[in-house]
Amino acid sequence: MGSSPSPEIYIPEQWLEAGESIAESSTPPIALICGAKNCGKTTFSRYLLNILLHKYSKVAYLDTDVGQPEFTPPAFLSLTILHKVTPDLTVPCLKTPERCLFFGDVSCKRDPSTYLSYVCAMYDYYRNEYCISDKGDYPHKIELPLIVNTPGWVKGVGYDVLVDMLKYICPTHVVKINISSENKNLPAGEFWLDGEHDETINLIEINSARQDLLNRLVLVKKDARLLRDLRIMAYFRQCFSSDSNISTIKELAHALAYHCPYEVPIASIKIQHLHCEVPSSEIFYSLNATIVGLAVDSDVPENLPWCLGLGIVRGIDTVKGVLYVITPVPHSSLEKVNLLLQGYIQIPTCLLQVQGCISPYMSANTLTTK
Amino acid sequence: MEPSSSLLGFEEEAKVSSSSARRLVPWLNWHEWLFVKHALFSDSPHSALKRISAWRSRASLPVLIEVTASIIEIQLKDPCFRQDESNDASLSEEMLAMLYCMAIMRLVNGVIEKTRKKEVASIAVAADAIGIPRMLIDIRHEGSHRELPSLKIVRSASIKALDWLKSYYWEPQSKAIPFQGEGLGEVKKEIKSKIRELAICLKVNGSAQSSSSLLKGKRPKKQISKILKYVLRLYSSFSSEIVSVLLEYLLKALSSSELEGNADDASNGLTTQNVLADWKLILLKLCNKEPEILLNLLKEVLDMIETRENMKYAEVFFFLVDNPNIGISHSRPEIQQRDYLSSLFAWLVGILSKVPSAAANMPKRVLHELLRKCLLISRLCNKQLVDSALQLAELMNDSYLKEKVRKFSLISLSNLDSADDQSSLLTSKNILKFEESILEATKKLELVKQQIMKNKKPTAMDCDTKKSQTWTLAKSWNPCPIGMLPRTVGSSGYLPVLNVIDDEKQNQLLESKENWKLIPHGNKRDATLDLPQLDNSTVKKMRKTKEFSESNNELPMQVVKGCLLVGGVLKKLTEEELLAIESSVRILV
Repeated sequence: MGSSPSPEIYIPEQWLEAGESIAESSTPPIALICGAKNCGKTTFSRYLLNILLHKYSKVAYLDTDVGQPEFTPPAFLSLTILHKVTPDLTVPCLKTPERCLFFGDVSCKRDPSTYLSYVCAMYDYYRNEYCISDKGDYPHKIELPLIVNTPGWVKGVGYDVLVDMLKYICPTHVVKINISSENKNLPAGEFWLDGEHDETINLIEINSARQDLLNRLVLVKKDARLLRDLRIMAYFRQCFSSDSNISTIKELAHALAYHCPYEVPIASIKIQHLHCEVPSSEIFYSLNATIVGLAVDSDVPENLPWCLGLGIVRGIDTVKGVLYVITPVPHSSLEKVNLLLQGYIQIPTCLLQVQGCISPYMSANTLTTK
Repeated sequence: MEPSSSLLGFEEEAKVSSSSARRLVPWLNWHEWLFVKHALFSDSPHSALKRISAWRSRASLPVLIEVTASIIEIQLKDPCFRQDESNDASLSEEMLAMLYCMAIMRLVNGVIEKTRKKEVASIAVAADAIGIPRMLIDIRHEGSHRELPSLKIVRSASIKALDWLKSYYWEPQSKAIPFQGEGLGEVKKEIKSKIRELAICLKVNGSAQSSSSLLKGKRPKKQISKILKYVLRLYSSFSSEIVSVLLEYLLKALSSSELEGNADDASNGLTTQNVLADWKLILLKLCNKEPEILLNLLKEVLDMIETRENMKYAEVFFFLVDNPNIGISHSRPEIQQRDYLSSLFAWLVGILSKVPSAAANMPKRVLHELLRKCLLISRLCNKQLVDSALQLAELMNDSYLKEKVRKFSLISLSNLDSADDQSSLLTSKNILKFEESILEATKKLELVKQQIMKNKKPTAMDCDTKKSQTWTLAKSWNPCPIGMLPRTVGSSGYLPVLNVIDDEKQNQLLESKENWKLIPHGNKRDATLDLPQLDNSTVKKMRKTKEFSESNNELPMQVVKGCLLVGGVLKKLTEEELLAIESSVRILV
């Protein structure tokens, strides 16, 4: 096996077997991992990633969990190509994805159909780029293995979305992680296949790794909101070079307030909110001091706007007609950006509270009753 | 896997306590909130509803505001509450009752679920504790578990709900706002008292130190910093008030001190120093934190000097016109006023040089402006101003400029002497000579400026070359809070104006169309969105874009009433033309 996972992560026997069986397949596998929230999907996916990287030089990772993505800040769907083994499975790290789409929300509940179309678009991109067909008669030969991570929403709307995803992607391996309380799990067997049995699909059912005192398989508690905020802050930390002396959140907030932003004329930018209609007279009230996705709008309306990253609109000067945007996206790529996508991602409030430079949106006289 | 900030590269920090009691809100300042409050409960709440939908898009909207907006919007659709006869898509009674019921349910759930512990109190008990009318609780229960309540009941319930919301949230919150936007008189009084307090504290602190009593010394210090913080916080929203209050105090101090009429310039300067010694400390403290105060004070004083001079010369001119060739003796009080102001200016410049942070951080062009203005106003006959100009030039660390200003001041001195000798006879010849020298001086200053600009240019040119880029690094940036725009100096920032520029024209148009009512948003994706927004002549793609035409960016601040920007030209349109434009504007989906 080679790389030893970090000591805090416990990889049960079942997982080792599952990983082996996927890695042993003759053709590059497309593995989709599903299960209830916090059952260990991401950990397993990282483990699987490491295993596959021993066999293949590059592995593709399609992240469809907009609440807690692996390599991007929240609210993104991304396709990332990896070629280095991650030694420590506990540390998530930000990487620049090959392609990503900004969904604007941390769950698909408000707009599942758009979410699904984004997932399908990302998968199509993967097939077009990394699956080549050498000869016309032979079926498509897959080049890179693909790991698909899914959100942990397994009931109701989330379940329907998952089923549609499975039907569209048709993975070669489906890894379903179960926990003890049965009603929180996905149905047994190939639940998305309406009864037909597909020979090419391998369903691997494994159990969650954590067990409580009664040996019940339990979920891992996480403070999702805090994690998301930390993720966003780590993302904007990239605005500054890695040797600059920023190691606390306070220092980051201070540095952001002092950082020289990009200036872009309002006339050359389109602004769109992904989930609600903002009256045109109120655009700036809605846009000031928010996080936006920087996207490239294609001329063809069917093509989805590929996103380059996040930015903070830190000021709007209507007199000069410019927007001031802080973003770690490199300047050379920024030129293509002509569309700002608004969503429901809030700036972490600790970034708005800088000593002596408190944002006006952090108000001090609000009544305690909300 | 516990969340840990070290995961993502941040050192572990003590959890920030929420004792600072600041909360994220979707409005820029309380002024905006008050505007929404007034509009919401007025006869035409459309603008408030629009603003609230913008707030909603920011995802931090308090649930009480959301519910208030829903109820008011439903009432707008209810023919019982609407005065006019708009007949588009009126809802059936069933649907109206459903809407009201849902709004009331959201109100009750939204308010109560946050304040009660499920096991301890039932909904009814918790509601009582807050004071929600029992009727609303009952409607919520009826609507969820039994059949839909009748329209009449829910209608009256909606009125009760609005009254309750006013008493529970809107009124208490507006009382909690500092200054309540009641007018600048209140603010000024507050600022005055705070600055007086500051002065007293500083005096006490000064004397306490000399008497070396530790106990007394500590408290004033803390109080001083508290008052300082308070005043500086006020600065971001009330900058001009603070500046005018300070100026008032300074001038009062100067004029109230017994300056004899015949005092010449030298002793004037000394006395100024003595008189204003108390204020020096205050200003130093203020300007250390907020250098822009000093800048604004300097500008204000210069402006005052300028207007005085202008008035004086206007009088003189008229006098001359009537009675040429008569010597003019300046009236006493005016000389003294001018002297006060010029000595005040000199004193302020002295302070500027003493505040090292301010001088260093003030961008060169700002000092240039000040210098230029100073020279222009000095008109060669005000020695104090010229001296101040020299001091300013010294601050700029530009030896070339210093030389020029020095030479200039020499010229002005000689002019001054000659002017005095001839007992200030303002003949036309003299006036011409003055004008010429001023023009020359201005030209020289321009040259110097250009030189400096040229020296700066190469670095700017190195960066972006060839094509014009849309995304550029902001050329000059002063730090400021996120959400504000930077000031010229200091890091306090000022609040932006976020109105879409077309708004002015829009409002003028709307005045002439009084029976416009908001067309209900049936289906959000529907093409027929709010037509009043399309009132503007510039055709917009509603969904995606709000593109501003180039001419809008040029900022025609002189908006002519009743005109529209059509094809880049301001035109006055007739009613028919407007209707034609409207009908041709449609949403492109």
